Amino acid sequence: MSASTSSLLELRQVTKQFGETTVLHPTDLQVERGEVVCVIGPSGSGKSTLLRCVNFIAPPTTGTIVFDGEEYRPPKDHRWIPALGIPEEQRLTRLRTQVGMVFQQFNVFPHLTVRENVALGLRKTCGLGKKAADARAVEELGKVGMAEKAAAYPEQLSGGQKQRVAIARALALEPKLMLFDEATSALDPELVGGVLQIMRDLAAGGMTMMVVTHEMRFAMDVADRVIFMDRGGIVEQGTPEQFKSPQHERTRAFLKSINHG
Amino acid sequence: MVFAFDTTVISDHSSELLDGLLLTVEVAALGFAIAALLGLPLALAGRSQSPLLRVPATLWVGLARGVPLLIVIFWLYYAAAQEGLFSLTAFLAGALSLGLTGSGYMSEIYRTAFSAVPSGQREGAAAIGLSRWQTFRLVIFPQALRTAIPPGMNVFVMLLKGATLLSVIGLADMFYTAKLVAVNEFKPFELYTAAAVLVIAVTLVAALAAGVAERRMSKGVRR
Repeated sequence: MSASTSSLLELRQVTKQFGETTVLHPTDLQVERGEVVCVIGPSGSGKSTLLRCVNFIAPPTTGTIVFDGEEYRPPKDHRWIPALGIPEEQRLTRLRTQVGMVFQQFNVFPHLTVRENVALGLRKTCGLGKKAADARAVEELGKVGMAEKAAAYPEQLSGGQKQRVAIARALALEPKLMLFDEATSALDPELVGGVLQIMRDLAAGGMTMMVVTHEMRFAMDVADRVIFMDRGGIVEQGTPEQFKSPQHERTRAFLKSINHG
Repeated sequence: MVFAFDTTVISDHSSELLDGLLLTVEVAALGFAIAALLGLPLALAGRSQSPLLRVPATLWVGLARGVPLLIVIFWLYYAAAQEGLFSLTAFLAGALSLGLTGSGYMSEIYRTAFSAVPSGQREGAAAIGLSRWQTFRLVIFPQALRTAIPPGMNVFVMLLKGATLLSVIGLADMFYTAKLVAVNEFKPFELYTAAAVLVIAVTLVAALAAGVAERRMSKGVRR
């Protein structure tokens, strides 16, 4: 597959509905290799849904997602015999090992140690043995400054530390794309900087990233492209420079509200 | 008339009573094991999106919880044998009755325990590429199990007390022995009291063991 010449990620007419409610209107989007895309917008605008559609944590209702040259479509409804969905499911798990995701609520596993949190994916989806996985896990934890906490349980950590563990857990699988879903929104203000610094370093290292965030400084500094979403659709996108004088009234109103909020 | 609590009749028959108690605990433990094992697939089927699994599981749980234990015991021991369906020893029929009845309760306990695991755990597991089965086995189940221990303990106690009904099919359990001695010695009060004390003792030990198990499995989780 001559995947490397095309975009890493392409969304074609992707929509998401929950019952009668449309949370994402038909959306097209391309993300290039090494690009950092920051998605901003008011709550309920569909930013998180957009991100969750990419790795099928919330499978799109319609549309196509092309990742690294492979096409993924909404899973068929195998309501009566769920086992029929297994081959599709297996394809999606392969997609997910290539797409790391970091959540607002961290979603670290409380019953596992920090090291086990990171090693789990390495063992189960990369097929590493226990020893190799543990060694790799400690190495990854070192990169986010958490190696000395390897034996601790998540409850012994601060929110910022939990989020570092979650980042290490995602990075351990060497993803081609990282999704950050309001990764710093649940953190105490003094802990935000450390996590953002890790994200800055990651971007500087050439990682392709989609970042849903309310941290406008971060978006303006790090993003190659900023996307403004509202009411389930992309309203406007452009470079951070272009976002200093937005085209749409809704974008202006949003930026004004968060600057003076 | 002076009432006197005659402890000698208990000490004289203590070995028979303890033998009976052992049998009661054995049948209740086997019944609980059956209930705990059956309850798990039942709970999973009950949560399935497929009606082919959900409907039978819901029916089973309704029957298991709705039919009186005594009827299950009679049905499995006498009725089935009389119709030539199968014939079981009193012990096996007893354990199965307890297991079938308990499975309905255990299923509901597992179901609640699975729902108590935050949905973010499932998402976190999916995001690192775990399959549904791996997610269940490695992430959801271990966290749900410790939520299920205290109410599961209640089911065990319920089955332990339910096991006293098995004397009706001639299982020489603790209650059966107590009744036999009580009739022979004309000391019902002493013997039934002793039987009650023994069951309470077992219940306390079981609660203690459950507490230890729960603490050991709660590593990393504030309760």
